[in-house]
Amino acid sequence: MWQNLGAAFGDVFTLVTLALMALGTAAGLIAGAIPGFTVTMAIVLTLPFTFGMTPIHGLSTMLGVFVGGMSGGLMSGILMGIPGTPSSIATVFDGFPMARAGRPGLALGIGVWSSFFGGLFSAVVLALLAPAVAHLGLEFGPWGYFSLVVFALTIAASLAGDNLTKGLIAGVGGMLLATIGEDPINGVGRFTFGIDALEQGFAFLPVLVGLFAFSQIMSDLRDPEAATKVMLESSAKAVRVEHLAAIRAIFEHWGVWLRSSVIGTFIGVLPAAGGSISNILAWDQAKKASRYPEKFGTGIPDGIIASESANNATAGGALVTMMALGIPGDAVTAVMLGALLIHNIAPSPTFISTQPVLAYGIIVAFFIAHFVMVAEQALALRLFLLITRVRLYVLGAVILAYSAIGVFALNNSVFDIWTLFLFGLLGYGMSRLRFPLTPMILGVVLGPIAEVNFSRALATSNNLGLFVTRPWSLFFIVLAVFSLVYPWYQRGQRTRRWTLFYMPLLLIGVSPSLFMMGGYLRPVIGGALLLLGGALLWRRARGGWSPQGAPADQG
Amino acid sequence: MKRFHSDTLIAIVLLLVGGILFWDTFGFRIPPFATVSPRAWPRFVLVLLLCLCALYLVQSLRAPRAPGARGDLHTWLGANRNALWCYALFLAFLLILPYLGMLIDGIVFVYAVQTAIGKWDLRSHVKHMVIALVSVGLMWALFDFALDVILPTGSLFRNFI
Repeated sequence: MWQNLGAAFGDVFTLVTLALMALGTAAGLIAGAIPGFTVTMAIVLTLPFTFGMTPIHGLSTMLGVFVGGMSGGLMSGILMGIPGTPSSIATVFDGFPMARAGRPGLALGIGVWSSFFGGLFSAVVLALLAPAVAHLGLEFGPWGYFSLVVFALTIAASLAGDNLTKGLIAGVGGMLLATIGEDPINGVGRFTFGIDALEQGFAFLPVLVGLFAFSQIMSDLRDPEAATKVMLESSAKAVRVEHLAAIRAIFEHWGVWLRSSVIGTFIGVLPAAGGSISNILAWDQAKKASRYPEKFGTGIPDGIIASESANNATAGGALVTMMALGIPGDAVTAVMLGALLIHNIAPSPTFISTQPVLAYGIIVAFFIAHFVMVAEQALALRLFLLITRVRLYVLGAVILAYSAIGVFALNNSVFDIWTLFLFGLLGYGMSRLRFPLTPMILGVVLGPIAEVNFSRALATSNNLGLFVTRPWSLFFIVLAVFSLVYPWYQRGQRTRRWTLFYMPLLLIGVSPSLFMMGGYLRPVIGGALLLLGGALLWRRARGGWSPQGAPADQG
Repeated sequence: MKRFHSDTLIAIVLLLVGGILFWDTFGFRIPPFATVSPRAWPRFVLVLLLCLCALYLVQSLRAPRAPGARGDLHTWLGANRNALWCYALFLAFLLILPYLGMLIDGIVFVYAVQTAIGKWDLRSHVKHMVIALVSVGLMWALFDFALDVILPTGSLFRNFI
């Protein structure tokens, strides 16, 4: 590991790589600062620039965008009360009141340094955990892999919006889109309707840019008044970031930082759950664990630390699943996965062992990008906020033209621009009709993985029972079933009696698969989960099965 | 007659599209050596999709229609005016691209979008034109010279280059 890590440091610590990373981080910070622009959008728009680069250069650039975008949202959130990205929503709860109370420099400092420390925590976890998770991934087999994809899609659908059916339709629709073109097993054309350009299917990048960038710009431009106004009225003229005071505040609240970083990393590791969830969950947990919960939302450091350390830690967690299993942790890592595929790198459980220098290069680049992010935020905060003085319709028009040029550059094909247009329309229509986009993009990415593993499973044996008798497959199927029920559970918590069974049954439900895995550790964990589930049931029975009396579970 | 809920309409359209695609799977060529038919996976996905769409249809029929939710075409067009302008102009950009090429077509497109959404006074026209020239010119130069991507020239200008 250390040898590979050393070689990766050598690859990343070149002037060109660092310069590209700095550019990427700056682009991410700018995109993050603009309300309505997401990290995903920033990454898909950066992707075309990386086609001609070496994999390490391209990935370092995009990791810079990733880290910058995750952190950039805090600037507009703290100074203007408008979160730049969904991953900074909870930052506003305490960051904005603190800024209004006359400490904007401290609020920004805490936000920047919490992002930094949260990111470093998850980078260490990534370096330590990714090889171990990859080792586990080798045990899955086609049945386990297929079920993991099913779990990723069900959890994405259940977390993506208020209507589970629409989320599932979007996910399955994405899988259907991925079937267009040549079948990966036999090379037979499917759903081409005689159109030659469809023989190869839709290219991944135009689909992504269409769904995430094109349709997002359309949604942003929809309001005629907002489209022609300056995006943010005020600027950060008089703000001086209080770095030392901020670092001191984080060290004083190290427990909040640690808990939030763990939450963020865990949420990141879960397939399809991202920074938009982790920042709110971490803020909520910090409030519950605090000795002064009533002060949350009034402008205390704890709230900013919780939100910002969690959202950056999520990025590292999401990279664990992507690098070790080839399963994207959220929409952003789905784009990163697409970027790797464009560079002819296919993450899988064997990726870290077969291409260790590149794999560790990603980890090192992710680590270093946090230093670059802090340096850029410290030096050029005003510059990043300057872009928010541009009128949205001007930026929108330029980005639309850039999107067209960018997707053309992928294959030198005008058909890709048509794809961009079609998926831009589809994405806009979906967002107007309240269909979530994340499950669809995960469906597009995961569809081929599911198909290959489904076919391999059937080619090995036509016994469908293997999907529930193989331990890892059963494990993921149980999780998928419970994630499907999760939206009803969340709505019925504290009012419906059946929700009292949800968490105990989940714990009891996953334990048989752990027993089936053999060895010592996993059956012990299975036994512990079984006992915990039983204890929860017993406690709730003693409480008279009253939903009001039960403490809220954190799903 | 009771008006359709928009979700009901979408569910019916999705069911129809799913049905057509399922019918299309019968036309897939089956190679003699195939261990798993190329029809298997698309059919599996389609059956799943059709079941979900049927559920969506039932849910939409059972959902109460919100009072005042009735919208007419004029309101809808007004609410989506900017987006429709952008899509129409992008479609025009795509149709003209083979003739004008990426550079000229891109400049025209950026100028047209800004003018359609922004102000119409002379100062704004000049500003929009400058932004279009600089932004698309820079992007074109970056891709053409720095990234070695040969962007479409356009049949009208091919003889001049």
